[in-house]
Parts: sequence; structure tokens; C-alpha cells
Amino acid sequence: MNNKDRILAVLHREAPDIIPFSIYFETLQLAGLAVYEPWRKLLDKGLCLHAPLVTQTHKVNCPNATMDITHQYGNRTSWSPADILIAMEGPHDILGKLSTPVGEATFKASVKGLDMSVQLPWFQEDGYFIKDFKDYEVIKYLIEDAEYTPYYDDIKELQMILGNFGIVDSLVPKSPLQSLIMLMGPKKLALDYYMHQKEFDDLYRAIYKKQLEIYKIAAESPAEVIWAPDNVTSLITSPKLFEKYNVPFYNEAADILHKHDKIYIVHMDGTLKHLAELIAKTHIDVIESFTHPPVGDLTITEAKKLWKDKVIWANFPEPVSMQGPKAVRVKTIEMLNDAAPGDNFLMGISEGFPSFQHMLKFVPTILKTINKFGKYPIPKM
Amino acid sequence: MTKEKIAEDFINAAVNMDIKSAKGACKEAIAKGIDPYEFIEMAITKALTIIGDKFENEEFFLPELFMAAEIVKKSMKILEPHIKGSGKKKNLGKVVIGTAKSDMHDIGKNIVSFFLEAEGFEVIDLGVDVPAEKFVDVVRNEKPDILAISALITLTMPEVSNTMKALENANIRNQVKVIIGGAPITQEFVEDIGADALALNAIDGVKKCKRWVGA
Repeated sequence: MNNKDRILAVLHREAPDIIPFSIYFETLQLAGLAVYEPWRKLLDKGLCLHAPLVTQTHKVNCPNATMDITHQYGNRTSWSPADILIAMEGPHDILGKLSTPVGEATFKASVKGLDMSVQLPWFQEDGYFIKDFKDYEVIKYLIEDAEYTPYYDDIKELQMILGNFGIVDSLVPKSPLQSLIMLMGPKKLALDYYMHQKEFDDLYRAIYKKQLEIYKIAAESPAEVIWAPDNVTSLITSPKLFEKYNVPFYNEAADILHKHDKIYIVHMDGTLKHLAELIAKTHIDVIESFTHPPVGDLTITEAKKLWKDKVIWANFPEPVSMQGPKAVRVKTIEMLNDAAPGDNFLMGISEGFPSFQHMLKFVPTILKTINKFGKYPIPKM
Repeated sequence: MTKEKIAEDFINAAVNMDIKSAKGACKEAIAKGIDPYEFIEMAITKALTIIGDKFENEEFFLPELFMAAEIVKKSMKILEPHIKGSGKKKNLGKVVIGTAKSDMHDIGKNIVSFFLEAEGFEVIDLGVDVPAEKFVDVVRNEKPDILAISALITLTMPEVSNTMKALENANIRNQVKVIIGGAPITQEFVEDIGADALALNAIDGVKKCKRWVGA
């Protein structure tokens, strides 16, 4: 089996020759390391590429709304394109202004450097598009104004580049509640849920309806797998919210995708213990970036027991990578042992790390350990 | 209606996230001439204890904590104008809190700040992305009882360690108890860097702080 076949076998709940181990292609590409010789050697040894982060199978057009994004660089004002490019890598503010016929909404995000995770501000109190009720109307207008059309060139091109080294996902938006968290932040989400439920639900339903249009396009696209970057964690998306808002959407979206034999992957990298039984009730195929202790709160063994029909794409825990090669090897063996015999199980790295030099120190250890102990079926050790 | 019944109504409202009824109970308490401090102790503090316990027992999650904070904020707005003097106000001690350098995740820190204040600590919140030198300066100048540092991602854990070293280098490490919190933080890490305690979650962190000041 080549690297791609290995991943697809598991995603289709078939037997691989060895447990696949993946890394996000985009993080290597971003660091300019995709063609760096040591990484290339790792690909030849079985390291799989997973490219979920940037490739969409649709284009969006909002005919009656505009969005201006300005990057503000403190004292780095310059006429030179080179200076501007270099400045983009440093700390700066991103200012966004959304204009519609019913009003404007703005956000401000401070970024530390060039970071692919920065799409909308996550963490600042004043950083979210929705700050009060007038913003609900603006965002709802924007959502309903959006027109989606199929666009497959990007995914075909990246599929060609990755070849047999890995898979390219069609990136779809976060599910409606997770999108609302991004739009208003966890605090406002909580307060509006408890104090203004009618308006909250109206906006949720508008997002829900529109997002299914994107899922329908993705379902008919050349993508083999569809990836939603939901970043679910029970601390913010409590079981009550998850059951009411996430489960119905996941099931309707999954049914659309399954009619076209697409694999539905949802990125859930938080604490999931309290959501585990509800996740079991969804029609999602793959729980990706599954984060087990010490960072998460659900073990691989518990997850496998609860999610018998689901594929678990387990994230290698960041803190262990800091403890040296021996700890990395022990943890890899422990993960393989917990997953034994290894049905419906992949491993991957889906988090940021202190540096690529650091990654290059421990990724080979994981790969070497999997190549030695991760042949399917894995005997219980 | 007795003050006990009004307090009970407030507690039930707060635990059920019913801000309207909670505010109604506060207004009722004022109308009945109940001492606001007594009402805070009987109703608000007790409601917070129940909500904190439910959070610790994982019956409540962040949305409920945010809502509880809002209920307390709005309730205090009703009660505070009727508070005379400040003699009875609790002061358990001073806490300096912030997230490690480069860490922009402030949800956990904000919850801890909220509960520390509600319990009677004076909190100096340095916000997010706090460099080691800033922690050192504030500890030196403000002389807090406790320094609380939060790091949610592995990338920022070395910054927590740097802050501990900076406190040592400034010869002020022994002046302050240090508690560390955040998803990737382990007991082993806390011991390695020479901090005093790990906050397993917000409530656990507040309990440890209270223990240190003998409350």
C-alpha cells in the first residue's frame, strides 16, 4: 500500500497494512519545508500527508456586501512590497470591515505572526464580528446574500501534487454553532443563548440552511473526503448545546455526503468525555485530531468502545513531544496498544509545535515506532 | 417574604440561569430592607458555591459560568448603591494573574479571576500575552500573595518556565505563591519549574488560593 491507499483504507473502515501516520501538508508548505530533503525521506518511509486546511470546492460571492481586510503594521509603513511581505510575518493587527445595505460590522484581531489558523479572531473580547444586536442583522444579511458555485480546480491541482503521499480534503465551514462561536465569541454566545434565544436561533437557522448548500457542492466534488474544522470542546460547546445544535446539523450534512460516498471528517480537538455519547449518535465518519490525555479527557480505549462505527484520527499529544525521544516512543507504543488491533484508527499531528526543527526531532521517532509496532493487526502488548 | 426565602429564590434563579428572577430577588431584598452584605453572603456567595461545584462536577460548563458571572454582575449593580461603608468587605489577599507570553487564550484565566474576586480576593489582571519581565515588575511593586499564570498551548509552556526563572533572578520568588493552570500543564511540569501548585480547573485553582491564605 502507498501512503494514500493506507489512509483511504482506514477511512473506508478497511484494513491497512500499517497504521497510517499523517502530518498536515499545509504546515510543511507554509514553512517552506515541503521539499526539504529530510521530510521527503520521511514520506518515502511512510509519513502520510493530510491536506485539509485550505482547499475548498466552492467559490463564494456576496453581490450586495463587501469585506475590507486591512493589515496594520505599527511602525512598518513602507512603499516596498518586500517590506510589506516581511512585515506580514511579524506581529500586527488585522482590521476587518463588513459593509451591507443593512449596516456594517467590524473586527480587530492581533496576530503574532504569519499563522494559518488566523481566519477570524478567536480570543479578543472586541475582536468578534457580532458585538451587539445590530450586528446580528448584518451577519444574517451577509449569510443570506452569499451565492455558492462549484469550483474544483484547486482540489484537482493539490491532489496531483500530493499524488500517492496523501489525501486532500474539501474544506467546508464550521458547523452552525461552531461558526457562531467564531462570530461572537464564547461569552456572547453563552449570554445570548440564555437571554435572547429567539434571535440566537434565527441566526443559527440562517447559517444552517446556507451551509448545507456548501455541503451539497462538496458532495458532488472530486474530493474523497470532506473536512469541517469544528474545534469542538465540551468546555464551550456543552452537552446541552451540542445535542440541540450540533447533532442535527452533523446528521443532515452526513446524509448529504453519504449519498455521494464522501467521508465526513470533523476536527474535534478538545475535551470530549462529556460529549462522547452524543458524538456516538451522529452520522459523522471520522473524529479527527482526537486529543486524548494528558490534553484531552477521553482515552483512545474509551473512544473506541463508544464509537464503534467511527474512525478515530488521533492527535499525538504536544506535551509528550517536549519530553524527549524515549517518551515519544513510549507514548506511540501506548497509543498503538490502546488502539489494538488497530481497526478504524489513524495517528497524526494536527497541532502547532515550538519549531520545525523540534518536529524533525520527534516525527521520525513516531514513524519509526509505528513502522516497527504498528503493523495491522496490532497484537496486544 | 422572609430573607431566607428571598435568598432561596435568588439561588434557584441563578442556578437555573434565570437572570430576570435573580434581579427580581435582589430588588425584593432591597425593598425589604435586608442588609446587602448579608444578602450577598446568603444568596450570591451560596449560589456561586453551588454553580462552582456543578462546574467542578462537570454538570455545568463555560456557558453557565459566563451566565452566572453576568447574573452576579447585574445583581451587584442593584445591591451596591445600598451598601454603606466598606468595613464588612472581605479581603482574602491579592492575586496577580495573566496568561503566559504569546498565549492569547484568556477564557480560563477570566473564569479564575471572576471566582477569585467573588470569593473576596483583590485581583490584578494583567490580561493576555504577559512577558516574564512584566510579571516580575508587578510582583515586585504590588507584592501580591499569589501569582497565577495560565498557558493553554504547549508552545507557551516555556514562557511559564521563563517567568519562574525571572522571579528567581529578581530574588522575589519566595515572596509569592505561584499557581499554574491550562490544558497542557501537568503536575510534573509544575514541579519541574518550581511552581507551588497546579490548578486542575478554575474551581480547584481558587480552592488552592483560599487554602494558602487560610480562608
